Amino acid sequence: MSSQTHPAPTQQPLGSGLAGAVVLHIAIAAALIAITFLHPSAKNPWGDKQASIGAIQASMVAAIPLPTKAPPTPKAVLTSDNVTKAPETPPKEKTAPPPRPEDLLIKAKVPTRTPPKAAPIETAAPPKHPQPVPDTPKARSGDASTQLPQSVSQAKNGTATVTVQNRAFGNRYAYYLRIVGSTVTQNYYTQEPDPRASQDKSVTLLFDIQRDGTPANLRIETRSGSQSLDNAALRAIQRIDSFGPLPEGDHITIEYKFDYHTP
Amino acid sequence: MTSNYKLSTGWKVAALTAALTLAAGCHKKPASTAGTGLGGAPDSTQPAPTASLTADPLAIDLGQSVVLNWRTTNATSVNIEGVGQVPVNGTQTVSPSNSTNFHLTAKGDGGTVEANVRVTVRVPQVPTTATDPNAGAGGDMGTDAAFHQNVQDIFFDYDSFDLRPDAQSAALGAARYLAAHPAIKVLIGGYCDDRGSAEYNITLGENRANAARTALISAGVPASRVRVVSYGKERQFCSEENETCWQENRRAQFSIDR
Amino acid sequence: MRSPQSALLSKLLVTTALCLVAPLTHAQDWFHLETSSGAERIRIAVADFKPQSQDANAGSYKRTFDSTLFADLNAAGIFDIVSKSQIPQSAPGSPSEIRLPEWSAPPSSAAMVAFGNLATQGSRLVVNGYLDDAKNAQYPQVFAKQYNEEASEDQARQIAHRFADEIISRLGGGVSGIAETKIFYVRQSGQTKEIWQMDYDGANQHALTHLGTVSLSPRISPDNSRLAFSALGREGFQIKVFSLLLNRMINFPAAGGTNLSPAWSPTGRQLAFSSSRTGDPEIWTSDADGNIARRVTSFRGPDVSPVWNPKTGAQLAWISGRTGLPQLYIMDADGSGVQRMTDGGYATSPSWSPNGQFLAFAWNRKYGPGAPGGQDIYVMEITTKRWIQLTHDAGRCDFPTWSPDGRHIAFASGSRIMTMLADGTQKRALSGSGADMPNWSWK
Repeated sequence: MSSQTHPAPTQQPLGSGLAGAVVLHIAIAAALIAITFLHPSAKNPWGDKQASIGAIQASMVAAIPLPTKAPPTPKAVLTSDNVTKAPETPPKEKTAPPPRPEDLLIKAKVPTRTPPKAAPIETAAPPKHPQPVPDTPKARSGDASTQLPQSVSQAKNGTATVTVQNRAFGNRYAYYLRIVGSTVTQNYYTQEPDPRASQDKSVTLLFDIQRDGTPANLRIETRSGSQSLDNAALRAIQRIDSFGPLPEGDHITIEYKFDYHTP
Repeated sequence: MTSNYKLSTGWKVAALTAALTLAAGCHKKPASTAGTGLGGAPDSTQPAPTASLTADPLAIDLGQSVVLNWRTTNATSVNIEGVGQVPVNGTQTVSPSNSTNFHLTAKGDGGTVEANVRVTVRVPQVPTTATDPNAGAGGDMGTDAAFHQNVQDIFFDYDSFDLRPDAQSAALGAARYLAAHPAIKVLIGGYCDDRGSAEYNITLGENRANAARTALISAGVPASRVRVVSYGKERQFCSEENETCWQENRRAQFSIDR
Repeated sequence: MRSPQSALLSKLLVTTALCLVAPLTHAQDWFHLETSSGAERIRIAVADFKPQSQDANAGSYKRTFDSTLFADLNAAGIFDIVSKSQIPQSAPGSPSEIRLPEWSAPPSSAAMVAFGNLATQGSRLVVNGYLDDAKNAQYPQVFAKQYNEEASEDQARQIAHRFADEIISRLGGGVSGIAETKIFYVRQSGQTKEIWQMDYDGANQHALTHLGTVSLSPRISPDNSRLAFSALGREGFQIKVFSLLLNRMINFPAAGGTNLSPAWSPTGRQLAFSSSRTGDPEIWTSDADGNIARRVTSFRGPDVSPVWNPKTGAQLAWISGRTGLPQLYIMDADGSGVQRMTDGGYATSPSWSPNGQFLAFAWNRKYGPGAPGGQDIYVMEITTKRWIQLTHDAGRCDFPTWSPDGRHIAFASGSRIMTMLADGTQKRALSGSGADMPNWSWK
């Protein structure tokens, strides 16, 4: 009997001691691996795969203060061929152009300039090939009206309406107005306005398009009451270098209204 | 190291075995003398200083001068041994009378970092003692076979232009042979394996050829007898896609410059 | 200049970024919205041109013209082009013959229609091209153009390019089309590499140099008059200049060491290049004739492949091996303000977008001994260092080069030259094998 019970108690401590040793070994091994990753040394040989990961890591983290991009794990370097990594930082204002003197110069110029009260363009020359078609069916993606000098485009959180003050120009060059509308929409970033502050508000801007297609004299006609909505609309125009040369005339004045509403 | 030595003594045969050994344990040496704060423990409060120190040229004849150029970041005080306290970034012309290790220490709130550069000063006496039995008259060009037996190509690690330890002894052997054959001029070709960018590899090959040139000059060969051309990856010795072949291609090749 | 394409690209960057931010419930919606709103393209229909003369050549010219025009507008990246099977069967030759309601109605549903006629008159080829706004019943015509050139297949193609560029310029926010641009590249034949030239669509491939050596890195001057490159001679690689006006090499002073990878400043008055004339390969600048050379970088390790910011001419991007594997850097043209852009891997061959906002480059993010990695084309937004990957599993890609409108990128993949839109879509091969190192002309 005793010979049967005796081994049991001795085996128990032996077993737990073994388990403890194993756990300890794993802990030490884990700690060593962790240290290797956390303290990559320049002495690490490159032939070793693990070490080379560490070396790349080191340069990622410490060489230059890069903005946090992908989390600095070995995975970020060595896996996910197809997934494009991107920063975790919240979306900053996206298109602040590099602050170069000439850019600043142009920007600074805009508000100080008085709107050139140049003569409005002459009424468009009669079309060379008048079309006797009485009624044009709207194209699939048609505007609200081709006869109104405006272009309406839908964004996810609102409606942008671009109207040209010169009605003759708007009728004659409706396509140009559509380009203006789509260019503005492309440069309007829907995530910029604060949704709660901007709901059901609208902002109206005025600006000129000069002969060469560049926008000028940007100003707010009617504030929305939401600073972020006003800014989003202003930035949309400020991002645009050119709408393309005017088909005719010295300049046109555009009214750009953005109605913010989410369904 | 033994494999490297074999490589330099009989490269045509030994390259294979050597390269295999290298493939197993290919060491990436620090490609620059620049010291950085990378190795130190990350300081959460202050950025660690970084420092780099370069000399141009790295080897001069006695009496010539060399331009030291250093850059640091996050450093508050910078000292170069033998020069003294210096601005955090700057250049200085020095004329050491013998080969010198310039040692820079940059101290900042985030710690201390060091950088070194070695400037080799060539003593103007050309070794003329003819120890080589092949030594002949001044106009003796030797044979290509004798040349390649005595002046052996230098091989490099991946993306590196640092000389391996064995290259130094190879350079000494080459210098002995060249001293015995003063009519021979040497062309050093810099070569790279075919991975990576064509343009970058030409500059890497240039650095490899220049490293070999510096080794020859340090061993006493007059600079005027050595010419360098980088071929990058435009001329390959071996065209297979494996480490053996890549190692074959990563070299500074010596030939008689006719 | 901020082209619509770059707006699309930056939106793509921001939206991909947002999609990856972990617990952001609306991210998926934004992605859909921004990419689709940016991609809302003008729907354009292209009618087959009407032959106005009966000879056999005219039919051949017409086919060349029609296919070239369609391909140009399709490749432009700003149109939703109506497929040939959906357009009305009529071939209107003039504004009086077109019935726009047919074109604006489904299935064509075109907003714009390009059409016209073509005729041979003696040895001349005369083409009348029109662009109509299908939605404007009262004043449909956007423009009309007549072209009159020596009759040949090549001229039929060139006229189509010019008409396409006119349409793209009118409808693309004033950004000129690229149908008349050229791509310069390296073509290998045995042991030699010569500089070749082709049209932007891969047509008209022909050799420029016949030096019988290894010529690399062609870079066309902003005025399309001179081509700088580097060629291997007895003294190693040296910078050479070929005059496209004189069709021969012109003098460029040789310097010590290896000199390669020239790059024109946007004014055409300066070159940046890599030179080892003082030992270590560094970035240098000189005037266009190779004089007044000045060293810009000074750091041990290879410095190579400089490229100017084409918008400002005040910055350089280049590749440096100063910390080991080559990385992408930018700096001011006087060498100050050095900034590292890539955080590891093996980065090469930068190309700066025409609007100055993006760098395209080749990057192997997993490069290292034993690490199988792919070298792909990436685009990085400079101010934020955010990047997107444009090629996937396409073999070893290198040498991206922006088209002058900033909407396209050509690159070398395998040993062919490919082109794609700057968002990575619409990839197609321009050359057969043996071609490398493309460089897109500035205009």
